[in-house]
Amino acid sequence: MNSELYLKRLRRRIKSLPDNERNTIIDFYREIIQDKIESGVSEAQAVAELGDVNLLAQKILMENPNRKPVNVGKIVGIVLASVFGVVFVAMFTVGILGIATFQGNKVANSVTASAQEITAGNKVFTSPEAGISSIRIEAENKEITVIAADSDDIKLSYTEDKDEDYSVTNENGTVTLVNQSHLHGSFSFNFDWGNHDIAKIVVYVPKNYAKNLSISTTNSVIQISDFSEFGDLSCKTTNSVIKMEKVDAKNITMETQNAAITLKNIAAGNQLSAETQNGKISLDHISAQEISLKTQNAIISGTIDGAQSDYTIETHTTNAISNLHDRSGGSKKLTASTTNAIINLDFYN
Amino acid sequence: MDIQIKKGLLDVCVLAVINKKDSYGYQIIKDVSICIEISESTLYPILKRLEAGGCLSTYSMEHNGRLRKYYRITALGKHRINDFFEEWNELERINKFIMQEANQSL
Repeated sequence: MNSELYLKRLRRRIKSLPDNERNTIIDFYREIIQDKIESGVSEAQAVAELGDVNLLAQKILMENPNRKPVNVGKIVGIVLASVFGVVFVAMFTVGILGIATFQGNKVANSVTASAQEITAGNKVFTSPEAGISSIRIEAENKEITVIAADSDDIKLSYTEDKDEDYSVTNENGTVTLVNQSHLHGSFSFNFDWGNHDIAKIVVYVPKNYAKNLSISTTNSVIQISDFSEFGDLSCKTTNSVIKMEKVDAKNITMETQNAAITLKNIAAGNQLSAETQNGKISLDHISAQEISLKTQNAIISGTIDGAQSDYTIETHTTNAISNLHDRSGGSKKLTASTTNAIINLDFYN
Repeated sequence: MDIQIKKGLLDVCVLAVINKKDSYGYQIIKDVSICIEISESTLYPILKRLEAGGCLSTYSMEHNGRLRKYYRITALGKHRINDFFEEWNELERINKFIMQEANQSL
C-alpha cells in the first residue's frame, strides 16, 4: 500500500485522540517509513512492516489515554436544549423521599413526566437541591462534566441508547446515577474506540452546593469547575484525565491511572489528594491543609499557594530528583511522591 | 521474557542508545534491535513516556528536505541509567541467592 494512504487510514482510526497527539503519532510513523525507504527498503515493504493498520490503531489507542477534551460547543448545545425545555422528564417534590428509576422509556410512578422527548435517548433528571445531601455518579466509559448552575436544581443529563441501562434513584437524600452496559465481557468497546464519540453525562449542580459529590467512571474524562463550597468531592476514573478549575471544597480526592490530573485554583479546607500512575500531576495555585500527590511515571509540577515554611514536606522519588527538601514544623502538610520522574513544585505567596 | 521486565529494560536500552549520540526513531529501533526486539509501535510510547518523565528532550532537524525528530538525553535520563546499574547489582545479589537456595534443594 502507498504510505500516505496507510497514514491516512491510521489517522482516521485514531481520531478519538486529541489532534496534536494524532499529528505527533502520524509524523512519527511517516518519518520511520521515509527513513526505511531511504535505507533501501521499498515503500510497499516499509508500509507492510508496520502491519495491519487496524491492529496498529488499536495498539495506539490502548496505550493512549488522552482522549479529546469535552467539546464546549456540544455542552452549550445540551445546556440550551435543556433551557428551552426539550426534555424535562422528572420533578421531585421538596421534602418527599422518592425513588425514581428510569429504564428506557419507562418512568416510575413517583415521577411525573412533564415534557416530550424530542431527541431520542436524551434524558434529564431534575430535583431541587434541598433535601439532597449527596450525589453519586457511577458510569462506564462516559465523559463526565460537572457544571456550576445558577438554578437551585440538581440536574443530570445523559443519553440512553439500546446498549445501556441507566437508573437514577434518590434514597435518603443521596441521588445516584448508575449506568450499565449490556455488552459486558465483550471487546466491542476497545474496537469501537475510533468510531464513536464518547457518551457524556452532564451534571448541573447549584453553584453554592455545599454537600457531597462522588464520581466514579472508567475510561473517561472528568471535568469540574467553578464551585465555591463543596463538601466532599471524590473523582475516580481509569484511563482518562481529571481536570478541575476554580473549586473550593472541604475534601477533594482524585484518582486515575493512565492519565494526567490538572488542577487550577483549587482549595480544600482539609485534604486534597491526587493519585495517578502514568500521568503527570500539574498544579496551578493549589492550597489545602493537607496535600498529597502521588504518581509513578510522570512529573509532579506547578505552584502551591502559601510559603514553603507553612508546610511540613515529605517527598519520595526513587529514580529522579525533587526540587523540594523535606522539612518539618509547618502548620500544613505536603506529601509528594513519584517513582520515576521529577518533582518540581514552587510556592506562591 | 516477562513483559514487565522487558518493558523496564527497553526504557533503559533506549536511553543508553540515545546517551551515546542524539538519535531518531528508525535509528533507535535499529540500534536497540541488536540486543532486544523492538517494534515501532513499542518504541513510540517509550519515547513519549521518557519525554514526559523528563529523561529526554526532542528537537527537529532538516534531513533530505524533510524534518526529522531527534531525541537527546537529559541529566535525569543519565541519572536513570545509573540507577539501573545500581538496581542491577541488587538483582545480581538476589539471583545469586536464588541459585544457591535452588541448588541446595535439587
